[in-house]
Amino acid sequence: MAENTSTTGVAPEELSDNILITTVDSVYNLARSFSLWPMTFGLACCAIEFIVAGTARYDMSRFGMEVARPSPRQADLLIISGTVTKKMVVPIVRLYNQMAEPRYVISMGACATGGGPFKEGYNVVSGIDKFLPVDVYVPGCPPTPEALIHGFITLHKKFKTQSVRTVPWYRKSYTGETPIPALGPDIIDTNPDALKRVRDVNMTRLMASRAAAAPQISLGDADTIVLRNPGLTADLTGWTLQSSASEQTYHFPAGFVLMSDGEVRVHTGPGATSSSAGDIVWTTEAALGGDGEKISLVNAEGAAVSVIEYEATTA
Amino acid sequence: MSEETVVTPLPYSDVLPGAVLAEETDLDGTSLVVAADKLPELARHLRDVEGLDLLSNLTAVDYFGYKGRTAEDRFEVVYHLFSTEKGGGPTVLRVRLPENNPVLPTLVDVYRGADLQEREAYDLFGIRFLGHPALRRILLWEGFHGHPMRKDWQEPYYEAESKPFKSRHPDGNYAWAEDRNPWGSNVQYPDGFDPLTWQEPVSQIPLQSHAGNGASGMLKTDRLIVNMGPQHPSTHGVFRMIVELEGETIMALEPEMGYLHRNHEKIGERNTYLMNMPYTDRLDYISSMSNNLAYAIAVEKLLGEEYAPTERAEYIRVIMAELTRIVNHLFSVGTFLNDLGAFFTPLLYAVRERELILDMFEAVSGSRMMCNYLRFGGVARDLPDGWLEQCKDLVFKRLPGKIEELTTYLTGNEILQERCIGVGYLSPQDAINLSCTGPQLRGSGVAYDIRRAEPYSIYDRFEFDIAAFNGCDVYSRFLVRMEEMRQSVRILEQALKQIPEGPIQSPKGQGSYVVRPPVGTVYGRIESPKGELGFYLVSDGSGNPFRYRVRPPSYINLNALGPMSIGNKVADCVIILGGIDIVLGEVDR
Repeated sequence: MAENTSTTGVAPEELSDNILITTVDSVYNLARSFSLWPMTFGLACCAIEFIVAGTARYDMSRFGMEVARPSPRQADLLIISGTVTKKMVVPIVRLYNQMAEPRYVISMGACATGGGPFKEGYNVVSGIDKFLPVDVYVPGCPPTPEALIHGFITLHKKFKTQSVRTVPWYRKSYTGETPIPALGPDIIDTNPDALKRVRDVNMTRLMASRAAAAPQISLGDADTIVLRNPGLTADLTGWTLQSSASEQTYHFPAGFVLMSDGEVRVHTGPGATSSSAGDIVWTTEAALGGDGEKISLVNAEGAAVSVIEYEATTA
Repeated sequence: MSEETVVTPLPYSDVLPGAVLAEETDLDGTSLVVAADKLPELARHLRDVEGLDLLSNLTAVDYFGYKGRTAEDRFEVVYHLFSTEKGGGPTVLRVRLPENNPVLPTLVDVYRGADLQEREAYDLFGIRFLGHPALRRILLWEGFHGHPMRKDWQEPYYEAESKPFKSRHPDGNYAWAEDRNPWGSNVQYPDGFDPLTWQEPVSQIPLQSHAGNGASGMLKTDRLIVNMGPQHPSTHGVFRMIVELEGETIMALEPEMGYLHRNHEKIGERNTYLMNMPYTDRLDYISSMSNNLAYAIAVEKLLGEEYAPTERAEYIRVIMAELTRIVNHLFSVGTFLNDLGAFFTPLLYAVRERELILDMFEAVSGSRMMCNYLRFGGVARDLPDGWLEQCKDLVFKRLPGKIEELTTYLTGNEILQERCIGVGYLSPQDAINLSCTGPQLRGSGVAYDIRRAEPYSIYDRFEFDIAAFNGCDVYSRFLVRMEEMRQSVRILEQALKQIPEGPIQSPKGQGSYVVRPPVGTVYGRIESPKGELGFYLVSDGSGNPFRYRVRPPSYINLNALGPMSIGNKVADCVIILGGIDIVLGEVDR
């Protein structure tokens, strides 16, 4: 040990003019910034400008960027070059997960950044940053190859701000897995927080639509009316069924409760009997269905909630 | 008796009584309203006896809320039939369907090219075609809620029926679409949908396998299913193929698309007519000027004589369209060689010339790729000073030599010939029946070019030959593209010599940002570099198209991908796809 300490700090004479002292970070960042391999991955119009950026006129190999790899396993840079659709974002996230760290994402063009001109489309994701972390945004529609190269240089500058000691991907706890979205009735972000939020909004909306819905009547089979409740459980005390022709009224008994999604059948006519528990017999005097007869369901305040009308049969 | 003498008999009532229900006159000529159950019979008659062999466009229209339409005839399926032999305009068939049960028989048995378009009408409108071999969603995914092109279906960021939106007026308070949507992003779920208990359904893609000849020799081989795409370097974007292989031989190939379906048509129906012009640039983003031209022609047909483009504008349009054709074919040939394994070098040569033409585009329109240059009744700006001289320099001096240079390097190249000759065979009859157009059709020896068959703009003034080769293989399609570049240079030479001075906009079209065409429907089409690019427009008299349909050539040419690939080696399906020359912006829209 003592021998070693005596020689540190003093370089051998033959090497003394050939040693540069620098930080590990500088070497690390210099090396990787000029050997950044983009993935051969095109989405839409911007991909054409990406290809052109690699041709002789723009020549992105000047920046060590020309080794485009078709496999995500060998690529460091994912260029989102075009409109991200809901159908495509699933494979994109999967590809991103397959890339090895350190990996970077450039959002190229208006569509990838925020949906662009297609933002209002039903199949368009308004910006890839809803699903992936983006390092550099390149504006334009499409960005010219010069603009894309400027994006590369900006990314190189970002490298210089990173240090081996603080970057997340060397930490033990780091996995870097991004949840892959799923295709349901619409795109589903499978991030647990996002899932919970969707569920909460959906349940609130469902409850609101239930609360707004009132019991409805419709025609059943022979001489019956079906009373259905698409809304929340309702107390029908004071409600009535009224017929325009025979001027008959059925008063619901006090405490009559119709469950949410519940259904009862209202029987009329001479042979009307209540065939099962919960069914109602309105009247045994006359059958319904006269010419142009109207049946209305009237609530406790006296307002008609639901009306059915029989067709007038002309002789 | 007197009644019978007054009524002129409906067309085809002698051969198929009751098939044609009515004859209607529209801005575009006459069309026949057909009884749904008699449709296949009538189509067969039209194909075999009347010679209408090309089912070019098949689409649906949802007349929800349209004046004079009820629930009984809410949906309409429209067919545009052409004759490759005689040329000329379309024969239009219309089938009207009720709201509650929109079902009609499929035409796949008569025109196999109806396959993808019927699936699209099913996907976007919910119209069912009885007897279709695999009627499933094509641009969206199985399980998507609703049929989005229906007029009563609203997207998550829905704001109003038509633009300009009130909220975007300069003094109004703009509300972000994200804030208006309860989920805070571009999604919507049916009531009560619970993502935590929802399970992703297993969807299966049916493969229509070939039986095979069992001649794989002594070896007994299993069949293998290989998925290519949507991220695959050979698919020119986000296209996906599911291939079934026996050894290396393709036994079945099923295309999957929609990965770039960005709702062009739905957005187009909210836009005003002029707002759609920049969107058309992004259809086939290699050849934006051609898309502008097709759209302008369709809308001008709708608007009538007053919006006819001026003489100078017509020349400028032809020059731009032909430059675009060269750009497209250069890029197509370059990437095609990439697919063959000649990685990047041929593309570098091709892109060099392309860049020079893009500079010309940038000079007139301000943008390299998304030109947005044409207007109804003319073009947006006049050519800048010195542009014509520069263009003449390019067309007369540089391009012919460079095209010959490419020919020298490529056409006679032994490797290219070995890989391409005899690969992807498509007989002329099949090509027509599968609704192929453009180089795909002409590579099968059918000399059908809309610039000659139904001349638009001023193409009848120019001398040029239709490039057609009858090898019926990938090599012929390659040769067609090389020859078309030469013919485009020929047209350009004539146009550049003849171009007159004068106004670039018809007086009526000058500064007209909102046009209100009369009520009616039109179908306008051009020979775009990839094939027949058509726009079918339905106007209800307002400033927004009621229905805005793009007939995308590269999408419909994909009908032939499966039939062409079966029996070839798996490496060949890559170049067969390259030979079709698809652009996903146009395939998926």
